[in-house]
Amino acid sequence: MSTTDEPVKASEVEVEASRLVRVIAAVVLVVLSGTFLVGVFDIRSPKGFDPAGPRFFPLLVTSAWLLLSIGYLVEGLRSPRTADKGDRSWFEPVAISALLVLYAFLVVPLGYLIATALLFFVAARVLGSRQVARDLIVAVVITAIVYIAFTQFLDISLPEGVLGL
Amino acid sequence: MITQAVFGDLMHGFGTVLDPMNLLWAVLGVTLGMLVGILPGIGPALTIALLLPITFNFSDPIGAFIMFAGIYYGAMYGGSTTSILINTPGESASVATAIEGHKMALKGRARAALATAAIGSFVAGTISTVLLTFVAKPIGNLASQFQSTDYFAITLLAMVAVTALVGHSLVRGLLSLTVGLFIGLIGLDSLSGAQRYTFGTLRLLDGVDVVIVIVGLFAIGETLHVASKLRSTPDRPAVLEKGRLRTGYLSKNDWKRSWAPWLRGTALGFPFGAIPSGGAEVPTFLSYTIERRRARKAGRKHPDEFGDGAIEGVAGPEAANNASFSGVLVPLLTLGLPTSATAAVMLAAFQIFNVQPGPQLFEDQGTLVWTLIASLYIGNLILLIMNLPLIQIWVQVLKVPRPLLYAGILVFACLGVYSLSGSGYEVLMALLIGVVGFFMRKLDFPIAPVILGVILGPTMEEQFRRSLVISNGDASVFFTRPLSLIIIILTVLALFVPYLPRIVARIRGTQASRDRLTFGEDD
Repeated sequence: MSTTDEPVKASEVEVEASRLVRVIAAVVLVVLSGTFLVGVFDIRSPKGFDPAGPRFFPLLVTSAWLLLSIGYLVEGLRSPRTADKGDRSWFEPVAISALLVLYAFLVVPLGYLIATALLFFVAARVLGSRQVARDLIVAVVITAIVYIAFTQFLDISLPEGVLGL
Repeated sequence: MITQAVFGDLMHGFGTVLDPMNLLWAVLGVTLGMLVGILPGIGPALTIALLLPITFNFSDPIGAFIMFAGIYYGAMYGGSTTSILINTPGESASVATAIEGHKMALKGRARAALATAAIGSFVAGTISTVLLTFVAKPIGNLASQFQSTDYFAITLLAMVAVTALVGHSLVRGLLSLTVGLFIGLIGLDSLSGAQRYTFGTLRLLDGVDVVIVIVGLFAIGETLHVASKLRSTPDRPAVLEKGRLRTGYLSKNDWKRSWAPWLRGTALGFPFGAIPSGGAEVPTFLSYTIERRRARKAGRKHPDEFGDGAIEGVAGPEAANNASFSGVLVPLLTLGLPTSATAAVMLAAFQIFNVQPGPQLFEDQGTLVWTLIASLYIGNLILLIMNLPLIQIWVQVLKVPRPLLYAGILVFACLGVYSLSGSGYEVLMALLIGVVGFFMRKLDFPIAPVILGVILGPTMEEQFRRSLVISNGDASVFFTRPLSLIIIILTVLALFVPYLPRIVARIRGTQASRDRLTFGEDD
């Protein structure tokens, strides 16, 4: 730690993403906020942009968003080129996202028990676990406990699916 | 007398909290809080969000709130453990503790560091709860004079001040805030019934459920982020020295050096929790800085240990973060105003149970409020008893394999959002928001302003428009009422706070050593 008599910083300023990713994100923000700003006109309002009407706040929020996005874009373009930190990987987050999309579509037809046990097992594997037997047992036990607790004690119905319990 | 009335109310609260079922919720809450406090990356906001859907089916909200509060301050206790033992703060509120605490552990004084943290947390938690007990109702009465312009102004202040203080960049913080405000706009406008940003789908008519936003940003966003950096794994915990259990944890000298930092930490934590400053980071770092300065000045009495494991540097911040929790409850209960991300999630919980925090709360929900406050006294005691003797057991939590932990979080996140309406659509929505949360983490955007925007945005707009309707569209109402005007001026000033060191330096004609005041992300 520094020995000078200064207030302490919570953490060093450090952005994980490379300059390219930051600029792309800024462009996406500009496009989104611009689209939503135009979308203000789609809001039905009898009194137009009256401050007490439904259009005024969306107008404020989306304009502020657009201005800030432009500011962020300029900041990104002016900043020095930096590379992505080498130890970051894109495969795992994409795989987890794909897994969740599958889960959203399969949870009803397959049933809660099967879909969730699979979700747990595959997610654990993607996240780096290599102990197949242990993961399978934990997946089944956790899913079963959740299922019984929710359907029996909390009266929340969960899809039965192909098991037809 | 007011004091007597408060005492009566509090005793009534104790009567309710000592009910075995409520005690069970308190124990469950503080235990969960300890666990998530110890686990880095998993904070109280995320935990409460995951539990929200489960508690929907509680017939009585009191148990749920006792548990939620327990999670919040339990996490403050738990956070210190990993800070001291492995130099990995479980919570942002424990970052300051790690500086001296870990040094103490390396010198074989881990037990003393843990003890001063735990006892300091207890002392601060109890003193600040006493303050809360006596301050809450008078402030609530004061707040009952508030008009819609004041509410508009104070909501704005809360959002802007927290945004200005949290995170590293004002632009990014405000971007987070506008995104949150935008999400809050989606759905039917409550006053005119106009559809806003529903994109022609019926699904969005009721807006985006705040539970989906919180679970998406915190649970799914964090899991995706962890997934992307699996290769950098944390260290193994430092081994606790085998202490002589019976002789106590703190030496006489440790006590002598700890008690004053505890009290100073409490004095900082409570007020900073109560004002919109984003929770516990500001007071913990202030406490650390003050203790270090004092040690420098008193350098002659005992050698300056700062930077080398000074117990004051653990005692002060740990007291401050626990005291800040009771401080956070003051505006939350009396004004319905969250000043940290976790408080915002608690406000969402209040709204889900149809309990409206604010001046009326003490009249309408007296039992709930006083039971909640009474539960803080009990919970602090439970934590003190559970914490020290069982420290070896708590540390075992860190041995849970990361992949299984995050797979479990995904399962609970999906369960929570799925049970909102029983369709996969909510899972997709939460994933979409989770992807946003992932990129926010990668690009260093603070999360707390989004949550505040989503939760406070609709309230702020409603108060704004109501004020204008009352004044027949005259916008000067916001500036003619002194209270509103003062709060709006404070809001503008809050935007300059991060640049304060630079401004001061410019006035003094010296070079600023750093660009802005920065504080870590609040949980």
